[in-house]
Amino acid sequence: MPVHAVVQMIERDRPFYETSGGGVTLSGGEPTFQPEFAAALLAECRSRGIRTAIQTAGWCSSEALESLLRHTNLVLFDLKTMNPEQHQHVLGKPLAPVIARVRQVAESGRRLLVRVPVVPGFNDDGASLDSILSFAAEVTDQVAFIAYHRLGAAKYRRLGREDPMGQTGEPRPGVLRHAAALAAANGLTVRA
Amino acid sequence: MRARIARMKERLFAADDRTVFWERVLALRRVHQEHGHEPPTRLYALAMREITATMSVVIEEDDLILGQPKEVLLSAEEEARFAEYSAAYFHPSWFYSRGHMTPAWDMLLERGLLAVQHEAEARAASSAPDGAAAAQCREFWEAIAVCCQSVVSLSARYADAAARLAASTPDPARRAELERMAAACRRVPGLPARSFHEAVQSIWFLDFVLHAVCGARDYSAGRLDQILFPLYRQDLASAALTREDAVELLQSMFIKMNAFIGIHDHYTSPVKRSLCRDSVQYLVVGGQTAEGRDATNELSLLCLDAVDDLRLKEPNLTVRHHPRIDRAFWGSVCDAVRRGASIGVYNDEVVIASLLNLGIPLEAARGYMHYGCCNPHLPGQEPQLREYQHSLVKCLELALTNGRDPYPVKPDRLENEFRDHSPEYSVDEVFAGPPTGEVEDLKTFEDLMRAVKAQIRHDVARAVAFKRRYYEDDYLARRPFCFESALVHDCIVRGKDLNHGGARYVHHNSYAGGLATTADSLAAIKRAVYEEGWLSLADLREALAANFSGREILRQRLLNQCPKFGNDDDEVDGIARDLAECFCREVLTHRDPVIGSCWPGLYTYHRFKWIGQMSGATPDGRLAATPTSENQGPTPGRALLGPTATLRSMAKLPLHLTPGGGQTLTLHPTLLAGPEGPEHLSSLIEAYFAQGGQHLQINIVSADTLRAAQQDPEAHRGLVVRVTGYSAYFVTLDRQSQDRLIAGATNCLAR
Repeated sequence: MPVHAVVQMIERDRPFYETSGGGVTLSGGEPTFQPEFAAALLAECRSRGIRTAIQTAGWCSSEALESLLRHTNLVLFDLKTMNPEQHQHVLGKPLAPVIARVRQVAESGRRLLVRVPVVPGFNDDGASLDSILSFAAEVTDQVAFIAYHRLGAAKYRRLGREDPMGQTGEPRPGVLRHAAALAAANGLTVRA
Repeated sequence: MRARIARMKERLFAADDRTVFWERVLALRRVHQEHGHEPPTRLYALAMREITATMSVVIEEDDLILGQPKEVLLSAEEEARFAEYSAAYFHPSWFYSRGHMTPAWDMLLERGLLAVQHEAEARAASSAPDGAAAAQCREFWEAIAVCCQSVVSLSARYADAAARLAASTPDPARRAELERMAAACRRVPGLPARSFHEAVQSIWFLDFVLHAVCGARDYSAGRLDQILFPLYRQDLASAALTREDAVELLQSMFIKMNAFIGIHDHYTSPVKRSLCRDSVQYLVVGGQTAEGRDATNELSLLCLDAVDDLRLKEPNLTVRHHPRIDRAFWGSVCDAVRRGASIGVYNDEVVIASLLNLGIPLEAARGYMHYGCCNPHLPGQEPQLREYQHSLVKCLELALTNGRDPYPVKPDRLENEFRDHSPEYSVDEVFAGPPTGEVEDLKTFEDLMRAVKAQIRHDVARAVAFKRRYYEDDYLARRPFCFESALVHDCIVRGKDLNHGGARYVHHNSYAGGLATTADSLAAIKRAVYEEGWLSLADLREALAANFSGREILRQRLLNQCPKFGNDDDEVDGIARDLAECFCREVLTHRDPVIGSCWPGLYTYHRFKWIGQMSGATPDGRLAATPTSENQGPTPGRALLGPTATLRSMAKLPLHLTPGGGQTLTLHPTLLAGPEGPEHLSSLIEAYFAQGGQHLQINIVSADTLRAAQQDPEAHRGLVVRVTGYSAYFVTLDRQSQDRLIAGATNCLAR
């Protein structure tokens, strides 16, 4: 699908962007995996006066990120842990480049929302959350928590595949309340 | 909520829907036995006098506003008599009201009923002595005078009872309240209201008399924020009233609005034996003044708060929105809606434009409102509801069969409302259209569209003629007079009943139903028959006649491979617009002297069910006798691209031609969660209105809807729920996740 065809679909909702101050978000997959197309699409939206946002986990080159940032108003950055070993072991990638990308966004002056998936047994203890939040406070003033959910279970079953997170449940409400309190203690606003 | 209101609300739900206003039945029987020979207008007035003179006065312990029927559980012996009497004396044609109107509340507050009575008496006394027309006018004025006096006398009996009760009440606070009520009932509705309390008492007393004594439903409370504001401001300034007192008085009235209509839903469980059962009572706030300024005031917000705080079935709050509306008020409306309050919003820009197009002067058009359900009118200036429900689906069926109805099935059991209140619906008619060509003559899609439009135009003209006969021979002939004329401008001066030329404006709603089903069907034919050629019209007709039996693959292709209204698809949306435009333009050409000028609407209310029952299988893949699309919206389960696409499709319809009708949009509470929720809702509605949208009733989806979606996923395919960070189609989630969302919806709605 060429950029102009996507833009045509985006344009249909223009009246709603105008009353809401909203715009277009390039979400997952991972827009930085297709940097040329994503950058062209974002540029086209911006040239038409439509605000833009990207959602990323930051596993990309600084050049790729830069090409998108140039045309982006808001970055929704997923940050899962500040523990380098855990990051390497569970996510299969080193932590340092991700941190560098977060800082790159912060330095670019774009609005940054750090989003923290809260996964039981992985990062839902106070120390893990606090390390993420104190870092987040260095780079932005707003954070969002995403409670891990089991909505994908049905799909795994239907596809006949094993659910790699089958043993993990959803976080207890108390954990999210504690996370919000930690965020506030770090001077962060919690977004919905 | 004050403790008194909480107690009253609790008692409301403890009420027994088996009770009956037995005194009314007995009074009507007495009148008929004694005066049955009198001319109809006089008989009506005597009935009004007999009921109001003999009915009990009821004052309950927490009342601040007075007036209610004494409804009682009948003994076995009385039940037997009720069964015997009810055919003749429960809803007799000689004492009949259609309800469905808004009285001129401003006139009631400014003049009072005694002024109306005296004017009627003076006109009767000075009218020319002879001539049939003069005699008719005189009869009308005399009846008006008797009715007004009857209501004032009833109010005086309430005043006496409240005073007596006050004298025997030891608690000084309650005694003072009773004395205040006695003074108010002594004053209004006979004389002009001097305070906010008197104004609310006056309006409520008439509303109660209309609902319970005259006996009908869907009278509206009107634009209360406009009507009550002068006295509210005056009392607030003199410290005679606080904001909280005003809320308490309004809530006292709102609770009473619910008491006599029954707690059960009469569509599903018609327990209550009352003529005002389930009365839908609109309360309209916001909008514009006659000069076009924002009419929002403190009372608009106060009404909103009072309704939102109570969360009862009535009143139905409607907000009139326009670009200059007070932002703080509008924000409060959006916040209430996202918390689950049921509020309808009309777009002034579109409704007023459509009224101007109908020849209504600008200042009058700015005073528009709707009464239940979604019926447009000019309050206090029109007769009672006149309407006709068309089925565009039937027009399509007739076009595919050269004018012969291929599915001449009538619903075997009509819903109660139609039996009780609306004998004039189309269901007793035989549908037959003009010959518009056999299928082999319909060589191009344009030929087919021409045939469908010819059927639509014919159906509109046929219905106008049908209704004209009905009104002349039946409705108007059998109902020469009703008390409501006392509260409609111009009737007294003209000496005519509101339904017989007394009111300034008279209109008839012509509603088109099944629009999206018809458009989807035509889009399917266009693609399958005329463009891709994998289906012939003759073959399609056979498949439809067989209700797709043995043709499931064809049905699935029609369902899934052809565009559907509600997805912002210009092709099918264009067909819908074309059909709607054809319908509206045809309606606009009719201005019948008997039924009035014809106002078009794209609307079904819940009649989409029987439109469906009367229609065979349709080319969009719908099976015979199943429901069609509702109102202005897509066929349930066919809009798959979210609410903005649905609203975009609807905004393409010629809504600037339709002052009435409406549309419900269902959203899950999580879509509007968080502190920005009200703003998001506001943006959605205002973007739709800026594109030409007419009305929205946002339903924050209830747990019940979600449970229904679990039971019938095909009809709920488009139901979007928001899961943290992304949206999912509810029916694609597994049972456990669905259950969790149901639990979430339940929590979200509980306050």
